Amino acid sequence: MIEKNSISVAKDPRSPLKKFMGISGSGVFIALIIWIVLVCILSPIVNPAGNGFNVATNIISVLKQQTYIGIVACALTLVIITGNIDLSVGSMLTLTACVCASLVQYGFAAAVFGTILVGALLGLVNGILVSGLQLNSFITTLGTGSIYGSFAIIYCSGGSIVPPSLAAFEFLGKGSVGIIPMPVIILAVVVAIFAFVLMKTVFGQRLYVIGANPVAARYSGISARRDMALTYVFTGAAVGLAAVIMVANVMSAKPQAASGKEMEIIMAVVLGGTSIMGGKGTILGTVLGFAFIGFLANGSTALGLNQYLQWVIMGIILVAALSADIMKEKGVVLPWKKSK
Amino acid sequence: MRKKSLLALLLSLSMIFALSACGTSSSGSSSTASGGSSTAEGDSSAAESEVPSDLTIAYSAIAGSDLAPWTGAIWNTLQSECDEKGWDFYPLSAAGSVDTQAEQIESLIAQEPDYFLLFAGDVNMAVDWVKEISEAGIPVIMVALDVAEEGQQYVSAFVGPDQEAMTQKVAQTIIDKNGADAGLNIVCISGVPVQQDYIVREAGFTETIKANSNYTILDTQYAMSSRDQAKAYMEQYLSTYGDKIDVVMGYDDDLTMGAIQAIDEAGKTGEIQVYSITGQNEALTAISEGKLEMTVMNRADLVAKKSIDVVEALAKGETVEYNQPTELTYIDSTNIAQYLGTGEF
Amino acid sequence: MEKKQVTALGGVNYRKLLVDNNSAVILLILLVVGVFGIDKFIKTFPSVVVQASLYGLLAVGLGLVMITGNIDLSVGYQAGLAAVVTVMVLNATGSLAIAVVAALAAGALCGVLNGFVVTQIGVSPLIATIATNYIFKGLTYAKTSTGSYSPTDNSLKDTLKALYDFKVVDGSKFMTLTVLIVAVIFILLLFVLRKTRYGNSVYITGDNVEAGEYAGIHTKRVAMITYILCGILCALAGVFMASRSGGAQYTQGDGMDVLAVSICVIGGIKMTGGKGTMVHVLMGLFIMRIITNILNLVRVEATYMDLTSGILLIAVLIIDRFTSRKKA
Repeated sequence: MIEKNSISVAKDPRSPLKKFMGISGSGVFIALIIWIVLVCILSPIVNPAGNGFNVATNIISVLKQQTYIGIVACALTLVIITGNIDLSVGSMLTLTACVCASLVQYGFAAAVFGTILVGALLGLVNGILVSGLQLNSFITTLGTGSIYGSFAIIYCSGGSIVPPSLAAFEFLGKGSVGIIPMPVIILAVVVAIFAFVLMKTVFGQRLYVIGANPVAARYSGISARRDMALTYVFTGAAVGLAAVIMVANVMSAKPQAASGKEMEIIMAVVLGGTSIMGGKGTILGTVLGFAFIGFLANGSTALGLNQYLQWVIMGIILVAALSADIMKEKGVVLPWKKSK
Repeated sequence: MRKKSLLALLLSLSMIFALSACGTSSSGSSSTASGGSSTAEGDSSAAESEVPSDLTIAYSAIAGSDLAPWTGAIWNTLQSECDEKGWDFYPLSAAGSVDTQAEQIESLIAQEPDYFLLFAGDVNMAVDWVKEISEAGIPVIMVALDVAEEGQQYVSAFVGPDQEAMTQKVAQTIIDKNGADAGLNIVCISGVPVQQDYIVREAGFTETIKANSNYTILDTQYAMSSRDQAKAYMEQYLSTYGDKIDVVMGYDDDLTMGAIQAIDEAGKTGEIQVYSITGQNEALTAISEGKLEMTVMNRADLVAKKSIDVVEALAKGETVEYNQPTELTYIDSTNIAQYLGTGEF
Repeated sequence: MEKKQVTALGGVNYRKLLVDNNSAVILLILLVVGVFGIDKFIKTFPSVVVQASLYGLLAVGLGLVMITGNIDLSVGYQAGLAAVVTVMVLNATGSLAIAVVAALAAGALCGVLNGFVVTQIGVSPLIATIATNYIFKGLTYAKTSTGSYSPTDNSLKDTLKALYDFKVVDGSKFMTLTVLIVAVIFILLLFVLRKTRYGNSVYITGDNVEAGEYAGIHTKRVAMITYILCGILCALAGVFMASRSGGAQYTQGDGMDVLAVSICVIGGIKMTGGKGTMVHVLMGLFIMRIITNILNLVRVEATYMDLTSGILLIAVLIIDRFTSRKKA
């Protein structure tokens, strides 16, 4: 008979610190804390004209500004986990924004659901090309990105589209419930939905498998390809939703509106610990990722830093975060921690 | 089969070299205009000749409707004016890239147009461009932005708004209105940091403020072409500087509208003075609602029409003044009634 | 019976090239259409070649990296940074030669950074080079924020511009120093890739890293050297760009990486690595430039150019997918 006491559940031998570091996105979380502390301390010194950096009010404004990036980043996390990528999201956003602005005149339902539908369709095109025809996702979405960007200009005939006033619609972008702006609420809902799908559904779990083992996934037939296509459709729909909020916020849409956003969105996902090779990643990490990018921008304004420096800092932090992630994975032993 | 493919590839490679060499011998000197028509500037006949039909007008623009409604308006108006006159309009847009523009200019020169309109993305590089164009025997007119001084000798005329004067006057208006010693704090929202017109505008504004007042410009951020980015920057300003902000200077109406929305939503309308340029309809409405102090109407179609007028004058053999400034209208609450709804877009 | 391998011009098997590669066919079609169908095509061709040479440098650098199985999305701003360095050093020392050397060194450093992050730390090259691109972009913009950053002295400016304008054969618009140097580099790399040990290891690294390691090839070192080479080539492009404009411009950095990747892919370099030659890059380069030229001559708006390149990219991918399936 086996003594009860002699059975011991193997304890996780790692120290609490190591366990924490093992969580995806922990690196960027630490970076975020350090950055906020730095900004709080430095901003009165470096930029005396400013009011310093109030963390509380800034959290809400950061979330509000990062809504578009955040919503798309959640969906993109799914795409990247399966080992693909989508470089067309920036142009898709521009195109769907223009479509949205032109649909407002037909009412709330048309503007909101019509736009999301258009986004989903654009995503479907990507999905068919990448998973159906099995083309390389990087090049393909590069191509569709150019195409969507051109469509936007053609659709708007070069001018901007100013939709008529529509209170219910505008509320989505400008309204708030209490002190929390609508966009943030929508963002929170989207985050919750994607987190649930990823962690609690069979579909979500399959995505990890596809990403971790693409060859096996390919041989397992239709279902893997359908899943991949679905991730692109979700991304498109998310882009549509983001476009709705964007247009509702400023009540205008221009085909020339900056489409460098795809890089920021990808960075948000990757900063959060999602591996670009696929198979790993969490929504929580993505949230930390885009929160960090938002705080970087906000904090930089508080410090009076100019845009260019922001880019350099962003690049350096991205490299550092990625390196940290890799070193963690490969178990690189820091030189001063070597025992003996 | 093998030999054929080898031959095919060698053939194509040699074609490339042959074409280049061929092209060399026939390129360069093309001072004869195409299709037997116009008189170039030098040729002035004794009496005024008729307006020639059948001209080919080349237009190299840093951008058309792919970059901004303003540049698009110039393009479209030029097109319609040429259509009306029965002239051949040959435009190329560089989509914002100065390098692309350099290439396109070469393509256009090879087309042997009668006149060349140039909306340059960089006034310094433009010196080489106008030199090249004029050496090909084609009269060139600068549209919207003038070439740097060394280049002016090659150019027949410059048609466009005085970008610097625009913002200088706005700055002066602020100073006159508030008093040179008021110690106001200003935040600015600009567009694309490397675009020539924004650079010139900012310079005009900041220099006037510095020279004639004791105001402080707290910060300038670049919203690119995006209104929601401009709104986000304004929100950041409000949270960083809060009540300290007295004046907001927007370098383009579309962006300023974003800032105005941010101010509105923060409930600070009336506490902050907002100034802008371009003369868009939304901005005019904002003036009538008291949300905007002033805008400067800078009509693109006027620039286009005047350019065509200059071409016509040159074609008739008339002498033309170098500087052809287009009208700027300063609109604020005193004359808004007159201009409401008359914006170009 | 062994058929003799056709090995003219750098050891490239042209038969395989044509059969494996739709790009050659596309190029031929374009040339025929252009010469016989488009007015003034021949006349504008010299400028096509000259303009192509700059992009060619970037594409060649990227192509090398792609053959090793990596990628480099920071090529645009490596060039931009080099242009800035050229002007900075020219202003400081008054010597064009020193400025050029400094710029090339800067490019090499960029390459070292890229190579280090990708090979030593092991970050995925896609994200790593996106990140380094931001760093280079920020540094470039810092100096060119007011539009263009030119030499302070006019005579220095002239010296700078003389480099690009220098015509090897007098009166010929096509035979400029730039074109000559780029052509020489092309041919050099063609031989290096085929005939030298380094070139060989480049292919093996791209094809199968493990096999390479077993064969005694330091794949990491090869990849690092390739990144550095790419950096130097981009820097050279940057020098010529600065020379052409008489100063450093904020380059279309964001557009250039897409352009360079398109050139390589359309030309036939595979993303997976291990395949492709300089001839592929050359073909891709000319396809893109000729299309642009044709669209210009036919007066198609700029918007449609983006549309066209997007469609072309996808078309090439699809054609590739279906032709390679046939063989399998």
